[in-house]
Amino acid sequence: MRIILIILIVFSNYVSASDIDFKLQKVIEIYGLQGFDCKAVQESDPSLSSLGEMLFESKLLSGGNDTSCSTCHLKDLTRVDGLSVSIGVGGSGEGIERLMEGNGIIVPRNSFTLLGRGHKDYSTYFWDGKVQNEANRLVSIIGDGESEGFHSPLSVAAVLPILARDEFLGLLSESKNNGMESIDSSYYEMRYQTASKALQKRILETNGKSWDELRAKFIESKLDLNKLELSNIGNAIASFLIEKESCIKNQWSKYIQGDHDALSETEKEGAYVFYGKGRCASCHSGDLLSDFKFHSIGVPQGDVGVSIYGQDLGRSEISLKDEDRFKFKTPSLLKISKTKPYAHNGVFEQLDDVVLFHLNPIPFFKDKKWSKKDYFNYGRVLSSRSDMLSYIDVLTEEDFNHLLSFLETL
Amino acid sequence: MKFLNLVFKVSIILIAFTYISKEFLIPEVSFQSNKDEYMKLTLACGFAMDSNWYIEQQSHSDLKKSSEIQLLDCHDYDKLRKQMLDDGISEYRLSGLGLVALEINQKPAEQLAAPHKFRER
Repeated sequence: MRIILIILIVFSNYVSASDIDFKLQKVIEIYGLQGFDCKAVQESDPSLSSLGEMLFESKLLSGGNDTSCSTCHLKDLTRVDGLSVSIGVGGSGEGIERLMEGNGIIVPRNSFTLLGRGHKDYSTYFWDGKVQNEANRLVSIIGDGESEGFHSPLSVAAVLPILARDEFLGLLSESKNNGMESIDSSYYEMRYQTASKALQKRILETNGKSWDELRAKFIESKLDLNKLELSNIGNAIASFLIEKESCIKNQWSKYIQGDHDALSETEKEGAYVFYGKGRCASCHSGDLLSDFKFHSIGVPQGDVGVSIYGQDLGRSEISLKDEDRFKFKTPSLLKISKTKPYAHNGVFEQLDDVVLFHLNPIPFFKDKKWSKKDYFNYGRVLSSRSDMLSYIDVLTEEDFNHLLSFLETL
Repeated sequence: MKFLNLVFKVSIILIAFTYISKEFLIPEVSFQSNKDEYMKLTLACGFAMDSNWYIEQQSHSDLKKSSEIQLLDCHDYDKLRKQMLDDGISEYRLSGLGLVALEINQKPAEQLAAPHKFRER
């Protein structure tokens, strides 16, 4: 009887579950995906890469000699620090140690990964887009970059933390003694010149073994310290990041490039949700998984922020436009599962928290205690939530779990 | 003669089996094995078309792309529907299945009333 049934099923042209590979082929065609291209990088000078690595790891560039780029972008943590918001000058240790130690100054934004940031199409840096490549024109809060000798948007982005008090310059009491105070007290348009002079003076004149090593590295890299400018430092750090941290090989890219076994069936279903009814690719688009535009999902403000009264007005702090309030750059989802916590202030501890928040913000608040500020302020933030979120059609736990599985492959 | 007799009997059995398979067994097996997927796709396609109606009124091109991808559910629905028709399932039976799919989310009033009834007094 069983054999007869099997024969009948075969003869009845049983149609199995739809062909997911066919659907994903359509996804790739419609969205014009090519997979992450490691060779497509921004302009850089490879001879500066070794100096860039030393500068990236060195605490000498900070006012109190206590902070480096790698303080908040740790190699072992996929170049994030694992904290909701970073701890800058005055702190010690790495990651959670900086929080527990308690003496560091809070930098009220979440540290993003630096992986893939040297890709040629990566056009907008920082949560508020304070460095942008707009139609091949560099725009930043310190000027147009190119006239100052920066090679790329990444080069400009690499030096901005050096100009920020909480991230590098140091506490006022320290920076007064080491000349860094002159940077902090300049308008941003003037900071390039002021910082170039201040850093040149420090590097040329400070005594000590580590300073000697740094000077030797500059000479080895054929950079004239007497003509040192901030752009040299930015170009060196960017060269290091482009050479060592810009190539991302993920499963989704492998799939796009033809390896259909790179994803499991569940992950493939998740990709179909991501590019279809999940509407995720409406903002997290292209091979870098970001449209590099500014949107709001209504992220709660939490306790700290860069704007007045500890809020974070996001993009409008740069554009000064009303319609940009509470909007932030669409984060790239490359390596997203390894870069928790999430959002501009790291308020979402887990990936499923932030994904669900896109669908429905209410469950997030059910189990969380409202911060005092959010209790009175959140209505304003909520009104900025993107209309596009209302088109998400993820209505089952199965679809939601498939989506999470796919995000793990990015 | 014996051989012809055997061939005749086997032929009759085969013809009868083919007829019964084509008219009754294959449609029934196809119906039973595909009905859940068919109802799932009926709902998914309806949902995709509904969303597409509203998204088409927007000017956002990437949102429209996502809707085009979602409409592939309707392609799957069409494929399965044609396959089931090919297997001999009637239009009427498939339409009935479509109606059942739409009723999946309907709840009888009794279900809502049940918690409010005394179980003992």
